[in-house]
Amino acid sequence: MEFTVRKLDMLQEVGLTQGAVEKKTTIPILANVLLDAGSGEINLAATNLDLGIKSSCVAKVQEPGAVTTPAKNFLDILRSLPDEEVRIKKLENNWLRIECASASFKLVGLPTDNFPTLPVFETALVEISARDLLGLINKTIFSVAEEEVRFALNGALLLVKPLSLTMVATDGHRLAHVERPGNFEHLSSEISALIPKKALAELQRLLSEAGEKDTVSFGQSETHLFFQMGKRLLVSRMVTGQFPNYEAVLPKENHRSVVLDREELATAIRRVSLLADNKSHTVQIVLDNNKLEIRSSNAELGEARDELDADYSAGKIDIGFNCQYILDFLAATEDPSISFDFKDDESAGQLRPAGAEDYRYRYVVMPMRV
Amino acid sequence: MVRHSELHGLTIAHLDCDAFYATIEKRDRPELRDLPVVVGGRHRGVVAACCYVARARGVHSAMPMFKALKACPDATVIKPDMKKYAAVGRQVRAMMRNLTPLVEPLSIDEAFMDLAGTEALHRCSPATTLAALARRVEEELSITASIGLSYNKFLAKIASDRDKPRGFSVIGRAEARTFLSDQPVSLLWGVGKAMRQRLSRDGIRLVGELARIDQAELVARYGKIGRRLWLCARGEDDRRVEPESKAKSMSSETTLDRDTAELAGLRPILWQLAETVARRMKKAGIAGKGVTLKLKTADFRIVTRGRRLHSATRSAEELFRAAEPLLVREIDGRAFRLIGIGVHDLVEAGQVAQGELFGSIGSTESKVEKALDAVREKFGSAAIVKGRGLGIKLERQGPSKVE
Repeated sequence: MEFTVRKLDMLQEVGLTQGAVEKKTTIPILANVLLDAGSGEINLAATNLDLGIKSSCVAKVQEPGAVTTPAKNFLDILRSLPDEEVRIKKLENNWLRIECASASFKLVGLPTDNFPTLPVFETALVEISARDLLGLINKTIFSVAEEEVRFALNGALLLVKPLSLTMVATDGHRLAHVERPGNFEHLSSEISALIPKKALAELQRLLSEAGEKDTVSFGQSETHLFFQMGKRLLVSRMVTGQFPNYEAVLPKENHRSVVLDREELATAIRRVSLLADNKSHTVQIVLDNNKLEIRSSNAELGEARDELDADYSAGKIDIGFNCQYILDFLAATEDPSISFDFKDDESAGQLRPAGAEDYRYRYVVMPMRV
Repeated sequence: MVRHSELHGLTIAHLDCDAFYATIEKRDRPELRDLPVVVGGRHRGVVAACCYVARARGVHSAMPMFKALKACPDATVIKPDMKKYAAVGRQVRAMMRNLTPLVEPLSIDEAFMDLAGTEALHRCSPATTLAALARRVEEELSITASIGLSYNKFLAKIASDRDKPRGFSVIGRAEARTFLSDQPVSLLWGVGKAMRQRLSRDGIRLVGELARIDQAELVARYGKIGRRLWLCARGEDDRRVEPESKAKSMSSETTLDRDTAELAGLRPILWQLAETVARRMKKAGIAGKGVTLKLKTADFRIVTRGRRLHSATRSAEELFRAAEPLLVREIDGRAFRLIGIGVHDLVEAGQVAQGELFGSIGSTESKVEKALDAVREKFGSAAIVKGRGLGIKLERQGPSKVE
């Protein structure tokens, strides 16, 4: 194997595969990236068995062949090189020679025989706008659980229906639900897939440079989910288990609403949270007579309060929330004003963007029980 | 009564019942009075307690039963009756609480007490009060206890062990350092086998050798425990006697009838242990977030595996579901002699808690559990069991621990 490649081309693709590289070194080959030189391009792959990323980059291939090499070291080497042509050649015993300008490296490698074969992406079920998918992920990923018992909460639920695209995530304490209109009328049946948090995070990276017209081809096998974006493919094991009946907990009677400036609310909560209880991170919200008061108290440190003007007169609400949960939503939504909707002091509160949006975004948070 | 120049100025005591389980059994079966008695699992398991006759023959507690019987073949082996022992333990504790509210139980049969400021109330010094307590325990309960009296907890506990059984031992300020200096480091609070070996590698075997090193050096070498070593080596201990210290963990474990490597044999036992812990948590009004599985291999290696739950629980079902996968992962052919489950990171019911969106996840199970608890409350704990706990009867469930 021998090829010449532009440093930046290679660096970008190797960088994108890092998320699928195994950090623990129990199975050494999983810490490696696979380089396969074919005609005019290098195919790259990395996998930790849960997640796999494949990509390719243009190269001048002098001699086809394949090898695996430690992904992290390979990336660091590429990063360190000047922005010039890089000459890469496989030597005996899977050693790799990397040369660029006056620098040269000899990096250890492993034969490709033991590198796991990634599941093959056979049929795309649907094409989704890359920007839309990224938007759904950004608005829900923070609500995905990291659970050791209720595994089904460790992923976000993607639902594709003929006229809508929906993502839902919950950790059992709060739930983010976002729905966009879509045109998937050719679908033979609705799609429902549980995407693991790690895959969502990698998709965020892969999709971050997507243009307005770019799309993602989505498909699924019995065990895996596939996301193809141009030459890049992300394969993820799907989350198994029964996602809870989230529709049952979407509030229907939260008629007592107040509209607030997103940034003002976030600033006040961050301020008051400085003296929130270290364990529960509770801030108390008291809403009454055109005022929204935010309070916290900490047995060891003291107490804090702040208030915002609010156009509200639907009866007093006195309710406590984990401040981080509220801040997560305020950071994810883009609208400058938000609506906070309540039913009573004990039921879940709902947050949503107040302005007209081309999507429907709801965030449901359970209060603290006293 | 002992003579000691500081006798009437010391207030911290440690009371430890003598060969507690065995003494109770002898009390209830007088014909065994002069015979060796060992309490523990019959076929297997370990010695939970043994009388002084058996001790003289080389038996000691925590010894595997087969070894105990080798050393003392004519011993009468009695299956432990934890209910009975707990009742006696409560009687002893009540007598202690009669003397001071500052009683800090360590286990079923031992506790610290602080008698400072009780002189006017009892019209005598703590030492005299304690002597009367020992007498009362003996007369009313027909068991004996040993008492250590000192100026801190660490030394009081050492003292109670010095003169067993029926002992009354005093360690005063003047003699503490001299007494400690030629004792092995293992006497110190917090120095277990691993720490002892570590100290020994550094050439420290006696408390006196430790006392010669300064605090900063010990902290640099051993971390946080270094300060404690430094204090203890000087006979100092700044812990107070804290009544009803809040439980930090709850656990239950059992030594198996025979070494078991198979999941099928261990699962039902794990379930029963989870039920025991859950029952006790419900009784104490607490719930916990951290679940620990403990295993001891046939060659006495201890394996602990833990995980954190999303929210605190006291449901046997949830504890089991958290611990079972941990157990499954350890099944690799090794045989285990002990299994236990523990819960830590406890919260009290009534504390501020995050509300749950899906009360319905697992709520059917918790309804089942409530119904089970109600049946047991009425008809006893064996009245109803889940299928996964069937077919196994715990021969000897080790004492449940609250720490």
